[in-house]
Amino acid sequence: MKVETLTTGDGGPVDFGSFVEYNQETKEARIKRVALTSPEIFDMEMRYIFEGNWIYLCHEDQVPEVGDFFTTTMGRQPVVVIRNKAGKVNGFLNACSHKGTTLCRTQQGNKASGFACSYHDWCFDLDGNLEYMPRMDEGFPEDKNLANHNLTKIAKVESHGGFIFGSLNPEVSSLREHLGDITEIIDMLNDQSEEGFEVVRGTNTCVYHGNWKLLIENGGGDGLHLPSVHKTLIKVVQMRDEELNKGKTKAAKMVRVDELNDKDTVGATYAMQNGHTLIQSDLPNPEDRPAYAQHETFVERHGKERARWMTSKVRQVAIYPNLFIMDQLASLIRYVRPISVDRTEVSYWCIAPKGESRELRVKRMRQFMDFFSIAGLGGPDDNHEFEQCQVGAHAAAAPWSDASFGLHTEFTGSDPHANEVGVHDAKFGGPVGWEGGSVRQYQHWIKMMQAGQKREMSMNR
Amino acid sequence: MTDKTALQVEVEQFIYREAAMVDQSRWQEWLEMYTEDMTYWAPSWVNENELTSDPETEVSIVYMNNRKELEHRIWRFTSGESPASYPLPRTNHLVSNVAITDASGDQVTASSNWMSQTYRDKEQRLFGGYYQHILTRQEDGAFKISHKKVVLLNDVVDSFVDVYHL
Ligand code: FES
Ligand SMILES: [Fe+2]
Repeated sequence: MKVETLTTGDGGPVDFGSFVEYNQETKEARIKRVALTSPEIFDMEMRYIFEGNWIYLCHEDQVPEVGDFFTTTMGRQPVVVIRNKAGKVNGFLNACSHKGTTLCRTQQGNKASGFACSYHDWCFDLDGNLEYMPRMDEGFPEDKNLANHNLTKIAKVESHGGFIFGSLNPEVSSLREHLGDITEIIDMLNDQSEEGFEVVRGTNTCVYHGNWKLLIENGGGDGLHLPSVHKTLIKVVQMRDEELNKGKTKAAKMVRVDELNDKDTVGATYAMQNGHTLIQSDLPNPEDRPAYAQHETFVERHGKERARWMTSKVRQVAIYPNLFIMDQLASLIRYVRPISVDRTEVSYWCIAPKGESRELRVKRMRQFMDFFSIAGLGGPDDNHEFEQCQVGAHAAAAPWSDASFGLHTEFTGSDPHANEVGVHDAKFGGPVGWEGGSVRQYQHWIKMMQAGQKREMSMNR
Repeated sequence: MTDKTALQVEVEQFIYREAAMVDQSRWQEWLEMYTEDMTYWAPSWVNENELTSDPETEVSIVYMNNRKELEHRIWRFTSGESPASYPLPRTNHLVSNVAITDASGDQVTASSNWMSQTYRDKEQRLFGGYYQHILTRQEDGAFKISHKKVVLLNDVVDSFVDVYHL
């Protein structure tokens, strides 16, 4: 059997354009699975997407004070996000300019007095400037230029509504442009409290044995898997409802997932610009979600339509390539960190309006853990499917995944529901279940991979 | 045997039996080792060395405050319909260092250390940490678990965990 090779010729470029086939006449689309299994492509993704464009880093609430830091990676590069003396958030490669040892070694912490490297004690201020090194007068001539040894900055660090993004590549658009009207969805979170949103104490992180795109595609618009993969969750919701009615359990009421995508609920998946997607749909029982307690206040402050989106709708955005902001069965940040072609780290952080009452907070936490903890009743089943997709993707004799569901129902241009709340750049969309979101994500991926490859080839020439 | 030694043995045997019920998939018997108003709490880590301290308002790995929830969970992972739990892994729980930290009235609090070796899909996964059990003496004289706290040290897990790993 002939196994398909990636490159068109010896050392020639990868034909990324061939990875998605979308037949406009038959309304059928398919995606090449080798995108999930090729280590060569993974390396390119790290260079072109994760180290070459905007990615999510962390939340402002994780670095609230001067000197507070948060360590993570951008692609394969260790980085640290830190708040400087002026209160601005900076980002640096987490590598000393001397021999490259890491400067920050915990997930979070505080370095208000600057970075002191533990290896040879070079000291840097919070803007990355080298301030001191031991025995400098002995080791170097007097005119030694310390500035050559400043820390390497992350080229761009900007935030919107508390969500901090960075790009190692300086030649990118502003964050505002990158996000487009997704900012409206972020604002709908922050507008739930006058003091903004916080990240609740405690993390949940796991590593599934599969490619990162499997999760991005799933959370970016796979509205088909709920009744199958999550059938036991649906049953548990029903069993819990029965027990709650009998007064037999103290657990929080869950969102009635079985009614989530009923035929008569209003809902849609949208493909936005730059590979982002947005899912919105009516919650069957919004009164059981914590935000609903403020519904009337939101109506007064933000109008009827926006208030309805804020309290009574699933709002889930996948901000390409590594962040989900989700306000649906629970409210959370889901952060995606590719480790290798078949390993992906996922962190779940529960988010909540600051100053929320204890009663609502308790409900919020239970709803979060019910689905999204590493031992939740939902997330584990998704992760296991990703792992099995990864196994199946090696069946190279069947090289394509199908992504055609609902393509004949696709609408283009603007959508009246999204326009209601100022989301105008939802250029393509379809009813929940429509797989066009995956297709658009991959088309964006192709664009980025082609651009990255072109840039790299012109540099090597 | 002094009363103290007898209690120590009784508590140890009880905790070993709990582990055995899980490892032998005797789910109904396992469930019945808990009181109806039990709490089961696996806190999550806030940072490298600190755990969350309030299951109601902070993030946990698992928090259940009624036996019904454990019952639903058991239904879920034995149903064969949850992809994550089909097939179930083979599990082997080792519990040691059992120490009674408090005994008053009809309640005994015990701490212990645990490790579990689990195996599925030709892959071994190891978990470990410590337990706190609060056992409450029932009318028939037997213990039941009214509170169990599970601390999991290696919390960045492959894919997921469920109560049968812990
Ligand atoms: S490696 Fe940092 S001072 Fe030498
Ligand atoms: Fe899912």
